[in-house]
Amino acid sequence: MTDFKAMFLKEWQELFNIPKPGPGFLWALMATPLGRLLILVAMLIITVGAMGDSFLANAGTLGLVFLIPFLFVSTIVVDSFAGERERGTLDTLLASRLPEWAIFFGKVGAPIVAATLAMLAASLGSWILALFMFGSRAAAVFPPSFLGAIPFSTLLVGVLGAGVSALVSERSASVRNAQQGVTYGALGVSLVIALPINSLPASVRQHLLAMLLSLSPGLTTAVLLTVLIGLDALLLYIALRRFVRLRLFDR
Amino acid sequence: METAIRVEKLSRQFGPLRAVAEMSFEVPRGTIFGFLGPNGAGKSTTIRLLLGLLLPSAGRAEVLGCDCSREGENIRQHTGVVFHNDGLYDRLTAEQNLAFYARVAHLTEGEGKRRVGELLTRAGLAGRAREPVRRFSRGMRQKLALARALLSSPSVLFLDEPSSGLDPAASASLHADLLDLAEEKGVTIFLTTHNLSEEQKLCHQIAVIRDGRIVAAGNPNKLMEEMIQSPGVRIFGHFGDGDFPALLADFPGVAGMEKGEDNLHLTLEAGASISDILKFVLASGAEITEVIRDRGSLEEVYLALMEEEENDRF
Repeated sequence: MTDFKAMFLKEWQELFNIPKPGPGFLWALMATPLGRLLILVAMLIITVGAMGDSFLANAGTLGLVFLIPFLFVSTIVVDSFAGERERGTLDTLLASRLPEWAIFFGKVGAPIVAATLAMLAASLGSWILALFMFGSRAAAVFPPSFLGAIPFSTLLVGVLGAGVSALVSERSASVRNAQQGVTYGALGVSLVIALPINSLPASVRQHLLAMLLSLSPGLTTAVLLTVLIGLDALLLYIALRRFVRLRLFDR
Repeated sequence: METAIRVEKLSRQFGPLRAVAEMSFEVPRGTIFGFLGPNGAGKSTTIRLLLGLLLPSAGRAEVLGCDCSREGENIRQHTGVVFHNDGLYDRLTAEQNLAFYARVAHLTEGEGKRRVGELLTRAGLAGRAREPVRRFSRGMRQKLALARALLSSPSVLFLDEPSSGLDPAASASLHADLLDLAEEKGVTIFLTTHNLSEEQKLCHQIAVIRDGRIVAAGNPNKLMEEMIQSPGVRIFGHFGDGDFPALLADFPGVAGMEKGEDNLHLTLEAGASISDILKFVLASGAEITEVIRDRGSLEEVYLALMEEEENDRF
């Protein structure tokens, strides 16, 4: 545990080291991972404020709740694996006594925890904004159950982002290569899912949709959660198995 | 003397590329061992093999009695390393960089703080401990990287081109630190470098490698004596006129002579007796003020070895 804590703390410090106040402070802050996180969180609160009642009814904006943690965790994990290799710090880290599992979980753990806390702050911020905007109607517009679900979904989506990004970036020579890998990978998966559905006849699609809507919301959520948790565990397992010194140096 | 590193017929292939080929050497404890060779000769691969970060294709290696293929974790616990890239985290301060590796070394919080403070002071960086490392000069970074490698009080230190990019003052300071570590603290230092004068000044033993093979090894001064084919001597003084220089040029053991304003430079044949030559000079009425023997340099040895290797290939 000492090894994991050491690694986690180092990653945490890299995420949250704030530049010295002075001229250009804001620009310098925005260039840090903390700055990026603040922008994403602000984006969510502003969207909630701007959309009001229709926020929960709109699938596109709801997607933000999943997209923000995925993007944040993914970019940080890519930088943490491929970036360390590119900057030459990974060699020194791997030449230390730290076990591979501690390095791996420290690297993926810090951004997941940061994203979860940030999304919790964002949902609280959105709730306060809803209170100002809608008064007693706030609970109807922005239900407390939705508020509670955000950190949990962030955790699951964050782990998904971390697993995919770690897998792609472990052996990438540069951040750019790894980012391209993650982007094209995500695009490829979307196409694999969307194209067959789109190519189905309209009547079949309507039938499928009606079947989905007829399922109980509880069962649907449970199935989705099981699939997501299973996928998270599988991706982390594969990425961890591949994060071995002898493999990483054998190139 | 106890052996810190023992390498026996160590080889490593990357596909068709032979990075290390049947390499054998030993490094006694508390000495500085220099590894010399052109880019891509296999120096960094050897360090990785010794740290258990790569498995050998053949042969074996031991560091502090631990087998590098099976006991890498043990080895990494008792060694420090500075790769060619200093491995420092730019976004962290000097203090945070060291504190991280103090935690990695399992130092207690109090012990870690004391050791970090001590090493920062020793590196002359105590005043800049809370500055992000990205603002540091190359010399400062190198000192900090060395401090990081020393945090766990390692018995063996691996340094991959530690003085590359340093100015002469920073380089001299680094050399003083390394000598102190080897002589006072008994740390074994395995050093790769392109800086030949560094090896000549610092190393007790050197190995010159090319294409993964050791082409020469031993004490740098002895290597120079063996390798310099035509030693020379420069005699300063007053030699008068007449036929003395011509007679000296024909003296047994003298292969060539150049006359300067106040000196004579003699190129000697192997085994020539300098004392006989000096007796002859004095007997001929010349006045000698100073005699300097050409010692050659490691650079000459290195270039000669590389040339030999090149010729062997064609």
